Amino acid sequence: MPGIIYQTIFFFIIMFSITSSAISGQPEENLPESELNTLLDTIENNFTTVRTLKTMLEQEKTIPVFPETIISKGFCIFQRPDRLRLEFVEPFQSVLIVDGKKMTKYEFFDGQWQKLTPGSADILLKITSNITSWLQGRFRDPDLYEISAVRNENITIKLVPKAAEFKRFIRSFELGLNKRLDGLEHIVITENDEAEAFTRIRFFNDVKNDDIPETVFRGSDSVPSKVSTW
Amino acid sequence: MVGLLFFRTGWAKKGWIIPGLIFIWILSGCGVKQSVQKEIVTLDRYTEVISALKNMYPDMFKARHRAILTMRNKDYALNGFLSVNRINRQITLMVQNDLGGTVFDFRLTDGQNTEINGGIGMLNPKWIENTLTRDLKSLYLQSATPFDTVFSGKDQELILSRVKGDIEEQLFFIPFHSSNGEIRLDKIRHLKEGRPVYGIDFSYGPEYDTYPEFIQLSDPGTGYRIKIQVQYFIVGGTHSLSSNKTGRNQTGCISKRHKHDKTRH
Repeated sequence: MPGIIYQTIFFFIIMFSITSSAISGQPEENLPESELNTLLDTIENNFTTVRTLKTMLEQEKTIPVFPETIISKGFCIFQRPDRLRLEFVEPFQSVLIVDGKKMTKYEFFDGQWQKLTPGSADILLKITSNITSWLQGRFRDPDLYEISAVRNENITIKLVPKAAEFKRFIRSFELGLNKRLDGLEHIVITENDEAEAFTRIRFFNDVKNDDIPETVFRGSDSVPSKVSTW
Repeated sequence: MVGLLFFRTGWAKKGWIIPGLIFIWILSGCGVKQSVQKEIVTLDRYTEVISALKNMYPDMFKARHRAILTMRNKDYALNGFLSVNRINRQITLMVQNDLGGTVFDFRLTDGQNTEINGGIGMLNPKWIENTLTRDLKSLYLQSATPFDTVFSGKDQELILSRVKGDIEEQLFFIPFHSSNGEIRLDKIRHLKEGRPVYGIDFSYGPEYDTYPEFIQLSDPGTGYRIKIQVQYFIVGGTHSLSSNKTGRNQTGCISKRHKHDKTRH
């Protein structure tokens, strides 16, 4: 019997130390409304220096069915104001190209590229227009999201969908900024299910303001153009 | 061609129409008979097919699907996260859209119940449930039944045939190059009154010998088609893929090796 008590106490001590170290390691401070607007103005201003952006990305997913973290790798190329290429290279290859209002999708299947006729293209365009806004440092969209910010090691912007239909699927987006407040380091998308499945996209190896060849955003070909590594 | 000959020679004008049509029908019938002629194989070959069917997948595994669903001439890129327990005949599938949002969860316990949760929008949930049940059972819960017969087909094909209601299901097995005469599933066809109404084609990439890496399902009746690329995860490690062709990452995933080029693609 005493053994069980000691084990229980030991368990709580361990749990407490893990929790407190996690908390003390990353103190978080919610920014007040007055500071928030100034901060968002600063960020938008800083991001205006970004004409083009090339960044590698790693997407981690935690979902209830899998105990393992599901990893995808790829890259993102952005050209102000509305050109985007989102490409995954592992484990499956796919390319999404947005050039203004035009969207093209390619999938690599059994050794061949296939150009898709995307269904729900309008919804995809809306989502990608959100992404291009974020890549320009524009996080305010009062019709769509409640916005708040947290100061931890860096600054994290939190967007909570307002519309009930949107909220049914997405609990929040967290956009982690770099120290200079001129680029995104990660995005965390938390779903609104019981298990709170989430997707974390980490950006790294950024290259800003390189000239991007026109072909990168060309969606008229039957296969996507090749992109040189950086 | 025979019909054209029949009319050109003027037989039609001479009251030979009915006997002529019977003649054409007999010719056509003979042609069909020749193409479906089957020969029942020996017990050894029968056992080989049943064994290939049993060993198609591990008893328990997980898989990640990248799927292109084509319906009404539109393509939808989807991600599927699948957990299969072949012993308990249970499958769980979570389907997410291209940008990561969950479309629906599906749970199947064969012979007992199915459950679907989530926003499936304009699609009829019952239709999805029935379609998914058929697709997933055809793909992952195949097992031998006392009613199976095995025939030899063209080349070295072995065809396992079974009848379910008015549908004849045929599973085509062929030897694969890197094996010592071992066979693996090449395609599945459902036939209704002799006509194909549903089909699955398997393709094996260089990374996996025995587990299909590419799957194509088509249902001409409802007009939907799915192309699936698969990444396997093995539970418990009782079944492993050949070690020289795969690498195990930190999460226990059996993943493909990727070549790194100077340019992507």
